[in-house]
Amino acid sequence: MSDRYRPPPAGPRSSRDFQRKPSFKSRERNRDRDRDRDRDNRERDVYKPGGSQRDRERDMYRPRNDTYTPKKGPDNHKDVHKDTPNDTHKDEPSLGSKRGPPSGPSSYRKRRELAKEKEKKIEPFRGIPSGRGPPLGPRGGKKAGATNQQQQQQPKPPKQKPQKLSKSQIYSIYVPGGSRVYQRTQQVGEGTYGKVYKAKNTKTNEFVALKKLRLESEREGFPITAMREIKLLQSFDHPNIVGLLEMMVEQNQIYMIFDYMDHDLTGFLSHPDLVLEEGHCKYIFQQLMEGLNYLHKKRVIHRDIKGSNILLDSTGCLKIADFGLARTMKIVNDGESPDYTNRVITIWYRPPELLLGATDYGREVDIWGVGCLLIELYTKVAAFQGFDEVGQLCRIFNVMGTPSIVDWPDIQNLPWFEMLKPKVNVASKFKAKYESAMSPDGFDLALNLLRLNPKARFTAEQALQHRYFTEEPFPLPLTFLKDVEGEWHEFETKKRRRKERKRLQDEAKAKQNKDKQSQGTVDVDASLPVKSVSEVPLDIPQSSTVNTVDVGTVESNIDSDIEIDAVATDDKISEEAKHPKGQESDGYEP
Amino acid sequence: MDPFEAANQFAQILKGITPVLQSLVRAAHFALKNAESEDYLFPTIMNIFKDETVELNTKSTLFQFVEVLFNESYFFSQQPKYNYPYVQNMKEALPQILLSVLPSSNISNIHSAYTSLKHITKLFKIDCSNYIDKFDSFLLDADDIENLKKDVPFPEIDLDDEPETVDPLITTWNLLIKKKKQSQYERVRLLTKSEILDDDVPEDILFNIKEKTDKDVDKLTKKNIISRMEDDREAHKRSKETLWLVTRPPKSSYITEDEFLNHYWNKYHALDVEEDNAFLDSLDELNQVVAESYKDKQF
Repeated sequence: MSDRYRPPPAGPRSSRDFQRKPSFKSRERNRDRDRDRDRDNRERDVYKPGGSQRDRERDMYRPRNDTYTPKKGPDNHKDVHKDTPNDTHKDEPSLGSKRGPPSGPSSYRKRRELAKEKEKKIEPFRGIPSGRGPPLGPRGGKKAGATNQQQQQQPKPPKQKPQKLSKSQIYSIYVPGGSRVYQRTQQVGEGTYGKVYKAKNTKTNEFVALKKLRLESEREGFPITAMREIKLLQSFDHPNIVGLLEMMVEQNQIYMIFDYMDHDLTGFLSHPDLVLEEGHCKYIFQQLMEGLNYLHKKRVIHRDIKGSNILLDSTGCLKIADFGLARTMKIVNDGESPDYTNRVITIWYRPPELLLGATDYGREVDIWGVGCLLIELYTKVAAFQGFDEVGQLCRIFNVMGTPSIVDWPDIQNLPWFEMLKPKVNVASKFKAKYESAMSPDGFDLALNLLRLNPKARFTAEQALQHRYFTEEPFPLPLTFLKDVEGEWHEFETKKRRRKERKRLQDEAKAKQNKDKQSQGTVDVDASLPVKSVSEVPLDIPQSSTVNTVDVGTVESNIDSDIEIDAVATDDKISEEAKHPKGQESDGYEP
Repeated sequence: MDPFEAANQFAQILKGITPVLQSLVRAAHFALKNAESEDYLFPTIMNIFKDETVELNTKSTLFQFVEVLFNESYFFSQQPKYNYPYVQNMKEALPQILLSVLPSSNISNIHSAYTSLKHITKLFKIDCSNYIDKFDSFLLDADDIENLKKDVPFPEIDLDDEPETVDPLITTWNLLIKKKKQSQYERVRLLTKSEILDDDVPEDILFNIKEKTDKDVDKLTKKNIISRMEDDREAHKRSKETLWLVTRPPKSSYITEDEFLNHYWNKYHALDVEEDNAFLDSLDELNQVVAESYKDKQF
């Protein structure tokens, strides 16, 4: 019997008849058994968490010094633990109470050293020294470790008179904000997960990216999706995949800390003076494929490939970022479906099989995304810009042509195929539209990455062996990047664009008013040169740059028509919208 | 509650039904709690399916409701008070219900109907694997190819053409396969007989989308399509939420994890050969029970 609609059983999980209430006799027997077990627990259980419920709950979120355990130097913890006020009353717990997070070092050796240290000297709590606020963990890597050790070697300040605080006072300790290790400089990104900030490590003077997890809306504790992201990031070690430096808990906020990257691909391509030669495109795309190949080899699907998740630093090194939607692939037997969620990938980069409701997809969904990005490298505009699933699929079919039975025989088995079945045949305009905009090898690679049938699409491995990378001109490092002024992220680009749009609208309004005054009762709508605010899609540029097919020739045309013609029919990809609306796929699966 | 009042209330519930699982289960529970009024409530369900003003999306949701009602009826009937209410009536009406969910002008709901029908068939313990294989395969035979050459449209699918002696569930499967075949036939016909357009085509020409002026209730508007997608995704997500539940054999005697653990936890001495064998046997038995209790196959 299919019981996918059945609510969870109310009874104990492992009892024999969980759907039936236990009889009185069995209840009594269970009670005796439980009592026996409790007695055993009393005798055997070693771990005894301590403090009141309130203390422990607070400790869960309190910025602690011991959230990070560097690989070397177990001595760190001696220092750290001395300052932690709650450890003094953490020893004698009540049995069966909720266990707080582990506070000591993880290894046995370190714990033993710590215990010895404690035995020697148990100091009363003197408050958090003003010079050191949380977080105190080093940034990881050699340099950071060294900094921490240097700190420990510094002579200790002269002992102050011990000032004992009562429990109630502990809550009002002031933690000065100025002493943080990471000082935020500006926001560089935002999504459903939270915000990303650029910050400076005050100890090493290096810049990092702080990704602040959004926990306000979480009612069920730490989001499992963030756990998945952290777990995946920890398992990666590749030059083209962003590295997680550490996690930080500060003032009830949880941060993921990454190396700072100056640009993202979307922001970078929006630079008005950018000229990319063939070798540059190859260099960028090769790194992207190397990173993706690494992920796919590890059975990981990224599921959110788009320009703003591809980061570049000033040396031209590329890293794939944002694993909020990524997952490892299931191992399934023949005939079984992996059954993943369909709600993934930002709509402009979403492949046709996902738009038609597929839940048994694979790595090919990422390949479609990088195919779109390859075109974008040459034309600087996203290839398929739909506003919703229907529009997106329409744009794809209009460019790639409607699939024939030979092209894609399995399309008829996709869940939404009958709902979005083409009722006319459309010819492919891909060649006419992009062949002249790209090099012949680049075009051939794009064609193979953007096959409608996911089974016919190149794999990352095949793409890397394509003659695009092996024939001249060879990939050329982006040496000019160090001279690029400023940092180019989609976030700031959007901001700039919004500002520009507002300016245009203000101008239009002013003009309107002027016209009104001069013409008396003229119908305003008819004379409007610009669409009204509500008609203009939020993140679509109305101005700034217009691209022509000549790679890298970008001319400024602020007064160009703001209407978006996303499906340009001629060779020239002109006056198209440039960047995806920040549609964030937030579907997660258990 | 008197039957007439129950039928009225039920009609209201069905008209406001949403594809959210709770809504479907609530409606099914209402029907089952008033099972003694089945003679009044069952026609209420059928009336909505027959109603030509009801949107196709709603009919698809109602088909999911039928699936839930089958399921809940089986579950309720574990109590002696219930004797599989609605099951026989609904089973008899299934072919008719299917045809109203998949009208000839629009079979958008074919995939969700297929999924629901699979679940319903499982409840009746009928093997439908050959139908599942058929559904996923290319169904056109030599006659169809011949007809395609002549550009003959696919004949209308009618319930009267089906033999009456066959189990209604099998008839429903046959109808579903015919619908799928029709779709494949018409697609091949379109690909081979229609011209290929070189210009860009707007959404409403490319897809079967209802325009504002269009009166045909069997067509879906763009908004309908997008909300259908969202509902399907939500239903898919919810169907996974109970995957962690395990089903243990209800009657037979077997050892539980608790019993096993407590028993050996309380032993302090070394086990002799006999005890050791008993231990391994119990462990094997326990492992087997656990392995069988997962809904999704473990590897």
